[in-house]
Amino acid sequence: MSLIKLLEIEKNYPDGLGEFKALKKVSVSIDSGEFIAITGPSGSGKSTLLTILGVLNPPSKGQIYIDDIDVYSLSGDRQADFRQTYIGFVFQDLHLVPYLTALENVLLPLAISLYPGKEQKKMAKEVLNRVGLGDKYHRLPGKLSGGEKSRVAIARAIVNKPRIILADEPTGSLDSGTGNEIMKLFQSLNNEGITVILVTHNNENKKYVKKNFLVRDGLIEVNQKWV
Amino acid sequence: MTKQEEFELLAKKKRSSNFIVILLSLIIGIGGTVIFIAKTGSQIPGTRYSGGTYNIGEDMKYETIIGMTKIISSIQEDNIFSIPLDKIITDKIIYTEYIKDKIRLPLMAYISPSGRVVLTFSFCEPCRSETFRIDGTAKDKTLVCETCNTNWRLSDLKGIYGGCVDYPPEEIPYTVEKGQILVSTKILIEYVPREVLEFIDM
Amino acid sequence: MKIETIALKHLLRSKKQFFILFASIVLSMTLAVLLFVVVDKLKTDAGNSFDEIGANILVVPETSSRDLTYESVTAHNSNNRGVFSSRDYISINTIERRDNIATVAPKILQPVSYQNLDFILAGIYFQFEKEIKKWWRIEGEWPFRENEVLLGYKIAGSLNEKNGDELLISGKSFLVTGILTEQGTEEDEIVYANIMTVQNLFGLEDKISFIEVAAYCTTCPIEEIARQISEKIPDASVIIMAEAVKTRENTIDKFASFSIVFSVVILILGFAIVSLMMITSVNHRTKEIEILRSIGYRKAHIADLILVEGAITGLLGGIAGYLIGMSGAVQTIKAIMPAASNIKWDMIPAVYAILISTLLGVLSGIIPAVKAASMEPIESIKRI
Repeated sequence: MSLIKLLEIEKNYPDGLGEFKALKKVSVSIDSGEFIAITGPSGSGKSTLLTILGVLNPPSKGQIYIDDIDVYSLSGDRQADFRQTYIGFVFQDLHLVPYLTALENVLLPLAISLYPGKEQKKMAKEVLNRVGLGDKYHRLPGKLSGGEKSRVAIARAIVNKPRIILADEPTGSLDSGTGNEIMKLFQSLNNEGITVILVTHNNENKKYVKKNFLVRDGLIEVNQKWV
Repeated sequence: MTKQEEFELLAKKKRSSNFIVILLSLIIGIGGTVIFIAKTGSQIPGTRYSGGTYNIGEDMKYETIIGMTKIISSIQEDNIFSIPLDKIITDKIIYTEYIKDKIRLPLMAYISPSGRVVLTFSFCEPCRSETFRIDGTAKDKTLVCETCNTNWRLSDLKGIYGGCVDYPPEEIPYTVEKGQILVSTKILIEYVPREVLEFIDM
Repeated sequence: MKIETIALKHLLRSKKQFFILFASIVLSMTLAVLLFVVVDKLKTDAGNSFDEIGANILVVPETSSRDLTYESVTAHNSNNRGVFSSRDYISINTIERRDNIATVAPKILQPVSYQNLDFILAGIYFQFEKEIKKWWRIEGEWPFRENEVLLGYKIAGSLNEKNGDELLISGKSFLVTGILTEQGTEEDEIVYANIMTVQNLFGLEDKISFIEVAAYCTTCPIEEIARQISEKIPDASVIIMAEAVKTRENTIDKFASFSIVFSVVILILGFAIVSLMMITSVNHRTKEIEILRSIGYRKAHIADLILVEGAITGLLGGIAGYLIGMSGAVQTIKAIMPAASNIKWDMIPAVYAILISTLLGVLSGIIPAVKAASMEPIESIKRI
């Protein structure tokens, strides 16, 4: 049963007088529980694909259904609600809010959720414990190491129990040891049934992913193995 | 709850409370209450103190009209204001002022028919008069306001006649020591005239 | 956690930003409160001291002929003609705007003869008269006791009376304690005695010939005060002393809305400055706002976040601004008008100040909030 369906997605960006075609009639389907790496040369459209999947960037043409919902036909507010419910983001430079502690950063998505205050705290602490930061609830991001920051970012992405995690170069700035730990974290989340999609250049991550989307010249090549 | 259900619920979710609206209403609410309390709190009806009980030891028989005598030389100590008792006994009804900084407070002392020394604020709020006289010619010996002609019984300041019967001069507690009437200045400083709410004619 | 919590944490942990915002609100509120209070005080005091000099309202019986006149009021040549009662007199003190009444001075006029001279014996309440005739200069003392009298300049000469002399009127002996210096008006021809003494002497208990009123008109137009007096005493003519009103208009009333206009201008400036600062703050927080948008915050959530910060800062700034502004006003008044009475620390203006300041914070937040809410989430990951 496919979770995400892209139907003839096109994305054009204005480029001088003409248009730059970032994605050309892409149709692809992603099942629930997949672990996908998006790879490809820079400028190939990987970022465009990730933002379209993240309900952040409407395609020029085509439809995308997630859990049978035509996400880009929703209003702006409902798109925000959708992101909140279904998607967890891990950004490249993490984007932790500097004036909030680890715990408060993790609480951010819950502040606008349906969960009551007490429940929110319990959930946030649980995920922080899970990523191994049980003793650093009240640290501000400035006082955390790179790996710890990544863990907070992941905790923030999963606290709302999303169905999809989108990560952009999650190991890009980490040493290989820490990078592997982060990838193992993604793997264990994937084992619980969460669909994980990440953009990566790092060949070391090969061993964790189940599928590879190679983006080249606005087209996607779906491979069962890393290319 | 599935994610689809959660997503649908979010559409129906209303912001349970708007902080700014609550904050502004709180300010208005608390402010209004404070103002209300401040306004109603200042309406002090009737008399607020019970007077002193010193008796000079003999009855006073008033037969004539006696006006006030003004005494200027009242001694003020730190927390005590004092009025010489012998002046009150000779003049029967005296007027004096407590003056400190920006406060000027008119005071009156007289001897009641039974010989009790009565010390009051010398102020009739409805007509703003500060002077009174004793009328010994009336059947009931009375204290009379020189402006509005309101009459109160000398013995207990019960209103008999006039426009300000409900505002008799307010009695002040005092003690007597070495021939001096002593009053705590705290009472004087805190004095606020009674609010005149309604004019009652008798 | 709630959106308000985020706003609060931001204010608490970004001390520099908060301080700048807070300081600008405190500054505008301080200046607004200071100016308003000081100018208002100047205006009220100037107006009040003006109003206290002389009566500006005259309450007289409706009909009058021309026998003996005093301030255009007639003393009728027969007894029992005092038209007002003390009830009327007190009722003036019970009008709705009674706080605007400075002094009410009742008078009874009685024609008398002494040593073949006809003159008016005016029964007045000396305590009030002293207030209302501030320009009167007296040789000797103001009368206090019930049998003491004050003589007009000319009548003192005609009667050949000096301070300490006795005067027999209608069988009652009076003691002269003071002589009024020459006024050049009919006041020079009058003998003044305690009102109640005159009433008792001539069987005019409770009767009053006319009433002079000095009203403060800074906060209430004199016409309104006159109207309220008419309501209480329907059978009286309430005359506004036109000359007094005109002079007042020329001097004091120009002050009138000055304080409000000034404070409003300051608040508008404050609004502009605080808005600008918040916009700068929002620009610094672009990344953060975009992140919030991409993890599911709606535009309204973002706007709320900014507005709540404005409201909290406005509230705190209002309290501080009021306290500082009032202290400043007290000091300023002390410095420029040493004789003036102290400013009252009233609850009502404090509530207004805090409310206005909170509103200022919220309103200043609107433009930045709209700007913040319009940020698109895509911006944050454009570089992917």
